[in-house]
Amino acid sequence: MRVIVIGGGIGGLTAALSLHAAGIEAEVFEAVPDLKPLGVGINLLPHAVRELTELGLGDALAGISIATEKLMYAKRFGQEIWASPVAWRRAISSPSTPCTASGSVRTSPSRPQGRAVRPTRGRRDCQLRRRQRHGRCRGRGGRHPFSGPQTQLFPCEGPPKWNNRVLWRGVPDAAPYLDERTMVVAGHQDQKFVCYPIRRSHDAKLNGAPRRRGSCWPTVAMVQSR
Amino acid sequence: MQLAENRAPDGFDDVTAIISRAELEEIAASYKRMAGSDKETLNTRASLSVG
Repeated sequence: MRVIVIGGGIGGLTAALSLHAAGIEAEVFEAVPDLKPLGVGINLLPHAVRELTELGLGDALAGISIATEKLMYAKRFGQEIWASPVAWRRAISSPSTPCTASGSVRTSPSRPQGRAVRPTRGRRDCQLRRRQRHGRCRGRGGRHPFSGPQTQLFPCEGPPKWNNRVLWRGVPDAAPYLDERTMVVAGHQDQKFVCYPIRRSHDAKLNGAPRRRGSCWPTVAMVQSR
Repeated sequence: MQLAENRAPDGFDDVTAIISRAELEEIAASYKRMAGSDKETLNTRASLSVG
């Protein structure tokens, strides 16, 4: 059996590695020709860290991320509601997680040795891109995921349901807060603020400029009802 | 978070004055159980990606 995975984001590459581990050949097609940092971070949930570790990527992940030690829920004014230690959770900084123009997170361009994931070059890639130009095929992520292969493969499913919430992300350079390993979620069901450190200054550079020692880059997300 | 917003929309000095410690612990535990992210479940179940 040979499997084709459309989209070289974190989900597509993990699926390909899982298939490889099961002895199934997988080939990943990605339409974006260059991997470029978008300037965001991502917090990997315990399930994801567990699976990436099982795939042999635990050490690589540890080298580019900050382990989240504690998850804290707070009122929108900052008062703590609940805080507890977390297991298997990590935050990754943006330089290692380039993103496509449509916003889906991609993993590092350096692939693990010996894996069956191949870069998207050559005739097949050209065919895929040509299909994209004609609107016949797109990747699995992005703002309109159902305009792509899902629409072609499952035309009866209709458009995805939307919960009327919008998410903004940002990565400011900021002073450390709390123990530098705490993820803070503040607000309520209609308005929420999420913050977690993704990289420390003494081991990172942004646009070539060294950061103040001890500072970190929290990534910030806001969810609002529209 | 929503419970705290409902019971004290203008904030609080001590969260246990509006939500008891037992209630907080039960909410946290049930969420982890439902999400499957409690430490015991996460560390003992089979991998989803590697058989």
